[in-house]
Amino acid sequence: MSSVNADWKPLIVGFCCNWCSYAGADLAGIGRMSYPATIRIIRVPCSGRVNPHFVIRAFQKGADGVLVAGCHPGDCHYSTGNFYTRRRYLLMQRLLEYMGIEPARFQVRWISAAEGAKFAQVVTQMTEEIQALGPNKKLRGGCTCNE
Amino acid sequence: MKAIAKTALPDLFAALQGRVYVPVRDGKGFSFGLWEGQPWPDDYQNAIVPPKHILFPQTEDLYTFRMEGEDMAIDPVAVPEETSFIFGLRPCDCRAIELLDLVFREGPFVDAAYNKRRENTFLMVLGCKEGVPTCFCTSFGLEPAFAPGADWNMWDLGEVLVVEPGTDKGKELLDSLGLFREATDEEKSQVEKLREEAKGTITLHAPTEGITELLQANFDHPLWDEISRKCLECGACTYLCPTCHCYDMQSSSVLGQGRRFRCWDSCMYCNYTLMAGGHNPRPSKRERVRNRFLHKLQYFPENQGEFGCVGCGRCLINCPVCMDITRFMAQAKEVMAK
Amino acid sequence: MQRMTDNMRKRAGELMAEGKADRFLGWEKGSFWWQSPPVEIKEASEADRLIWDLFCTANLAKYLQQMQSLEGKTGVFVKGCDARGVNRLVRDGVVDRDKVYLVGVPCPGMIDPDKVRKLVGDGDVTITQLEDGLSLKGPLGERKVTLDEVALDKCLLCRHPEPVGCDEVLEGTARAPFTGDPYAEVRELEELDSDERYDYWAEELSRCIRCYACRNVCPACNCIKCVFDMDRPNWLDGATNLSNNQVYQLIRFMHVAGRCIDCGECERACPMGIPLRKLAAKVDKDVSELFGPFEAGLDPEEKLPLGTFDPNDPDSFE
Repeated sequence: MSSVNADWKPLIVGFCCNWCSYAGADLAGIGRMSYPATIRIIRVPCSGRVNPHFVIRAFQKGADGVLVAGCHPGDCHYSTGNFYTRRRYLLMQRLLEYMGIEPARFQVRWISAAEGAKFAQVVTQMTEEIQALGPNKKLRGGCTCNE
Repeated sequence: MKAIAKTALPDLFAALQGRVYVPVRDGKGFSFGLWEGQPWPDDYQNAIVPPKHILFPQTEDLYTFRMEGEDMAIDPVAVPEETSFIFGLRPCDCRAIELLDLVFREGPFVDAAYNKRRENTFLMVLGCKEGVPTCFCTSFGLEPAFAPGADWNMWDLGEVLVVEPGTDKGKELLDSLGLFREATDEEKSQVEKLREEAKGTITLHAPTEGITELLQANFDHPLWDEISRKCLECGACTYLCPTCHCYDMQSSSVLGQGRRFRCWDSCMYCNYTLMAGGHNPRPSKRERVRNRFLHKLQYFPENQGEFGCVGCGRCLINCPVCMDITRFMAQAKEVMAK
Repeated sequence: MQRMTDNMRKRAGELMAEGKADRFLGWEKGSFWWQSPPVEIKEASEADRLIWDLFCTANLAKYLQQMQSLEGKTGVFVKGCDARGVNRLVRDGVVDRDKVYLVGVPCPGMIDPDKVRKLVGDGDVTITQLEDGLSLKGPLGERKVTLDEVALDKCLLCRHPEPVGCDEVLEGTARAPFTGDPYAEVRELEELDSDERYDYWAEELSRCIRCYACRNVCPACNCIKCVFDMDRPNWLDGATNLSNNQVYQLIRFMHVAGRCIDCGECERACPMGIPLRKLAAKVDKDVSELFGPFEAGLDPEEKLPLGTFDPNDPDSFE
């Protein structure tokens, strides 16, 4: 987008499960892997804890992208939590797309505790994709009247 | 009385200095929106949403706030000074605005935002040639093709629109516009005829006589249980009612800044009278439905001296389960009077 | 129609006299030609209030929720969509099937009053059933039409006009189930690009006045306390703006995903004419595409697509 300020950096909200993806993010830090400082991580006990409302509210309150990250299917600390996550977000991803939200803005990734490099790579890639789309205006509102 | 060709309406709208609200096609019907060059819609009957939102917006900022270091700065929100013209509202909705005036302007408290908007608004009423089956304005003493409180009363005679100013500011406005010619005697008598004939087209009747006293004496009547059973407790009736005026005040904020706003609220909602400790003096829909009807037919007459219903029929049309205030009134007269 | 009405009155009276039902839910004639609202019959002697015509659109299942606290059984007349609504409530644990006596009514499809008004006007309208269609009489004249020409869109697409899981079914003929593509409108929207779709929904949802009629009429929206009525946390504030309206509908359709019985009541109840079934159908379509063919409300024991999983579910998340 030509109108986007070159200095603009996206704001990504990342919901990371405590047992895998949060540890994966930690590993990326410990391993001093570099990735863009665009993500704000919110630690959740399980990706299954992430209510669709969390995702939509993040967009509403100003996120340019939302990442939900959890253990690989089959590796959930609670055995089956992320299987439910998968169904829920496969559906919501399509519904968001149907409402006109660009698919790149909402992503779900499976990142294990050992995959520090994957975490860095996911954030880098998501940042690039959203950078190309520009700031998110869709769904956004709540702070001024009749936005 | 003056007249203007309907084909010249766009010129009139363009000549009006301010925001010109006209019926615009919207979804399955009409609503009042800003005129943006479109021609006058000949199939307009009435708007689904009454024009009250122009004076009393569904959501309205009261003030905004933001963090400045350790402190919070509060900024007032100014009410726009701009003049508004509501062109083509119906006599029932005009009457409803007069009732809102009683609440917001003429009570012990004057609502600054409403008052400012109202001062700057022209009510240009288009008389109804004929009602639809859900119209019962005549039951509340209204005339379908004439609104005593309007700045302008207008009548559609097919090719031309005849205008009669009803207030000083309406007359001043009309005189300042060069687009009109004097109405002919023929047109004047046509208006008289239209006004008279329109009355006969309102076929639905709501028995208003003595209803207030009857309801005052029957607060705990079992009829309330019966009629409320089918209510779904949605807010369609209240939000689409031209005289409902309840609001809630809420705030929302994000990243150190936010706003305090008011937004319409409905007495049909379970949260409406919910107290901070969890107590709700209107715990079930029996009390909520009763409140809605009593507000229109008892509390409004008690507090403002007028019925709070204008007979526009919107609640009859839009209730998903066909709750009908006229039927309720007839039932009350039959059952409660015993 | 008259025969069915007589039958309903008779059966409701009999069942109440036999003690199989302590009250009955059905439809009565409303104030206007296009209205046949729900009615609750408390005594066998009141059964004459019941009617059956082509305006008995309201889904009665929803009322069973409030009947649960009452002693004894509630009898209810159900069309295809009502029956699925009852299954929905039973499956969700909101209604005890043993407290309900279901009398099925094969549904011919219901009339969209707006379609009739377009043809013959409003006011003094009479609709007479003919051998091969309907005769409409109104201020604009007389017209002979087939039911399908004036039926509600949701009825034209109905896949289950014959009620399922009833205790008994009254004799009658249901319309032929729709066998075409129920998602044609969804596919049309899917063809557009993101911004076009966004604009489409932004325009539709900007009209929403948040009266919650769609939610309150919905048999799948049976929570005791709805998330949108919550104060703390305040999931959604009361401001009516595009963003909040979008959030409301997105979340509501996620909440009813895999549970929506496609009765179309949300769209009928919406005073603003928002095409809500296009959202419902989208979710319905995706549930079937992703997790295997599924139609909600056909079986009171059904597994809910979002309440279960398969380790081999499709996975595009990497």
